[in-house]
Amino acid sequence: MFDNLDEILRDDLVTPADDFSNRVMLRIATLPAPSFPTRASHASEKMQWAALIGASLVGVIQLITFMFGIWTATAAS
Amino acid sequence: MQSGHHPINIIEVLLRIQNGDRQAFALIVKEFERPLFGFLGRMGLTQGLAEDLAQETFLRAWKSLGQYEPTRGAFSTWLFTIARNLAFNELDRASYLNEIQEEEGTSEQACAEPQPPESLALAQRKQRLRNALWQLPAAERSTVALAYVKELELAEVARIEGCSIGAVKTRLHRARRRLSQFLEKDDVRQSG
Repeated sequence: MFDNLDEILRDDLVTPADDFSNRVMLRIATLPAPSFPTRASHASEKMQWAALIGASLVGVIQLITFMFGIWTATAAS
Repeated sequence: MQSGHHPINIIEVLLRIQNGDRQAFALIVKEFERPLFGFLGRMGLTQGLAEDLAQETFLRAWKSLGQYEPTRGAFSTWLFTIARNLAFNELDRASYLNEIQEEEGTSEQACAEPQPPESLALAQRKQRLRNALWQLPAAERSTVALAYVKELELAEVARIEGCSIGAVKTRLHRARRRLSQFLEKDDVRQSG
């Protein structure tokens, strides 16, 4: 195996210029501030999931009731 | 890592940004610029393209900073995932090879000017390594490029690569062997 492979791989082939971070920050200054998820958005996300699960349950119950109705009607006749 | 260098507390920095302190992001840039350039260099990108991609990585990180969830992984994992995706897109561009050739042309012209022997040797050594890295399949190159980032654990490399730690080790072993072979052949060619 090539003796100093690890050493040469640790070498940085390219390096940042001294003013690199300044240039990035100048670009950042032109961008809008990032939006962070708030507690309210977490809460509303939970509410959405609860609503989805609740509505699914209601749907399943209605389907079972409907099938039971059909079965009762056919069994009665 | 440099002596006396203390890694930043990313949660603290994020809180400062959340409270409107934009300049706190400079701490993130300063912390990760060097490892990011190291990674992009090992991906085989030239100085100019690495600068563009590093800048784009930080800009994207800024825009989606709110999507980073500390409970799901280290900030470095998140940042290097952005950088890796950008690097792969760049390498996929058909025009990339032309840009490399153009830049190599300019560096050859620069090499024609008299230079101290040490810097010439260093430039040659870097070029040889870059050529060898280019011989690797993209997935292996990316694994090697990430594995030599001091700030990343093997588990983080696996997470960024989307594979198991075992697969990372296998890729690394294979890539090192191939690189050794390329560089040895190159040695023989140069001394012959």
